[in-house]
Amino acid sequence: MSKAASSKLEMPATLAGIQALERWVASLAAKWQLPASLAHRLDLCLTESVSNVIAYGYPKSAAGTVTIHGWQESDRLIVRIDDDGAAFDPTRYVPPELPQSLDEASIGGRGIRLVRHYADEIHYRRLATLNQLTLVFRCAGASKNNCKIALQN
Amino acid sequence: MELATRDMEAGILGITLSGRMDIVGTQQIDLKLTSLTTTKKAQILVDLSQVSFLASIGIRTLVNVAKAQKLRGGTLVLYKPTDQVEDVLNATGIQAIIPVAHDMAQARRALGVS
Repeated sequence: MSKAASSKLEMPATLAGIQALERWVASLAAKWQLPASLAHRLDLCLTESVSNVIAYGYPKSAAGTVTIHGWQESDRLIVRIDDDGAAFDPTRYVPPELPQSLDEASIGGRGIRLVRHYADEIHYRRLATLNQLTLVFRCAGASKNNCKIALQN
Repeated sequence: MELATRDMEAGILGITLSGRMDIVGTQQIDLKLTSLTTTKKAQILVDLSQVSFLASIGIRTLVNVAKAQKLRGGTLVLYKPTDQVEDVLNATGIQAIIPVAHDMAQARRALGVS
């Protein structure tokens, strides 16, 4: 893993952290010249995963920290989200079924559905007090070396 | 995020949302959108063409206001989402429960106005 192809963000588990995350993803997309569709998938999956941590991971009095590592490995882009909030394994979560009518529509449960839809692989492990969620994105059409937009098609 | 309203043809209430509809952006417009769309019966067009990003928290707000407006006897249509936003709507099954229109003819049909 070369330095040029990896990046790290440490952010508070707060709404201000979400804005830092948005800037980090945008800078990563620019630096790595990611295709717009891949940048959107990455943005959405990270936003949903970290929003869940902020909403459910910490009791109101506690201030948590979320650390995100991103790197490229051949034709895959990988991000790992570490947080020390309450244990939660999103791979075991069963989202509600898609509603057939507005009356049936549930309030929540869409975030994890979106992560499963847009990430190619999701891995979770609990390490002592740490949640570690790894998301893998394959760069369809990219060269063997990286996920650059210039190498699409 | 920002929210602007405009009176449209046939009494349709147009609401244009713009910006990033994540947890931060949705909080900025949620109260105003809810009060505009749920206090009386209306035919409402929510213009999403300037929404650059839609997260599940934003979908939750759209579902809530569409549900509340249905209880009032009115209708709400989502108008001209970008390709990325429409993909998110499809992935969460929203297009099956809230009409999505790409032009005014479709919007009028969905809202039941001629």
